[in-house]
Amino acid sequence: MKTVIVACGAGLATSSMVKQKIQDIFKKNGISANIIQCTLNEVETYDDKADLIITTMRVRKKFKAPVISGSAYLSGVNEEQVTQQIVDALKS
Amino acid sequence: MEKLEKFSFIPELIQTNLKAKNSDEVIDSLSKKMEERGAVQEGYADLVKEREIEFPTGLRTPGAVIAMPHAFDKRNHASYVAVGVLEKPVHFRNMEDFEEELPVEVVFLLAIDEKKEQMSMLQVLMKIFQNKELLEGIKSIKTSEEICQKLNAFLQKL
Repeated sequence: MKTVIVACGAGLATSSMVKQKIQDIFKKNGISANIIQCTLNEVETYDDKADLIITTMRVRKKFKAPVISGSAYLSGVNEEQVTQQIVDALKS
Repeated sequence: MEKLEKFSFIPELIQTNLKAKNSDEVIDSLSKKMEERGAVQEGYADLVKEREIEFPTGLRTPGAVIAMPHAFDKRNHASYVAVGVLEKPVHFRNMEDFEEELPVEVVFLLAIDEKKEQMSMLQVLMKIFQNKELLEGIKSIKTSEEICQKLNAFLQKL
């Protein structure tokens, strides 16, 4: 079971939008993962157990887990590429 | 696709040809509409402006450059969206890159009730943002009633 963090500013609006999409992708690709939705400031506290961090904004801070921008799911631009990145990151 | 909830757009919360010099003025103007409608309480605009500084909401979508300013206010009792189509683009910072200013054409001011599950409203918005034709259409429509009809017709088909 993988652990994936979905984060945005307040951990509510944009992360909720992205989380829904991510859940669908996991289902479709047979990935079993625990999704934690949180604020950007909380990401650090989950970093140790995370396999992947998806945020709706660019993050400068370095984390142990790889970070992928999930804003493609809001705009629909480059959605397929980002989905591929996410799937690759979790299947390796 | 399964039916989404009863969320719908309200013509009174839609403003076409919105004149504003900057993002604060857009937020003020749309918040005022919400306040008049009882959708938010006094002071909501200030909360949104503060939050926009910390977490910008500008976003490039296929059909328009948009922003979706919002804040969390415990006094919100339901979720609403006010839409402003700007006369001239106004700068909002990009949510993906805080240093980049985006010339925003359409603004969706959100009021979210944290206590209720509002995923359906957010899902609907996401589908609108991703629909090139719809957003391009909205930019050229002259009346709020027509925009409202177009948006609600889109919701019906989801």
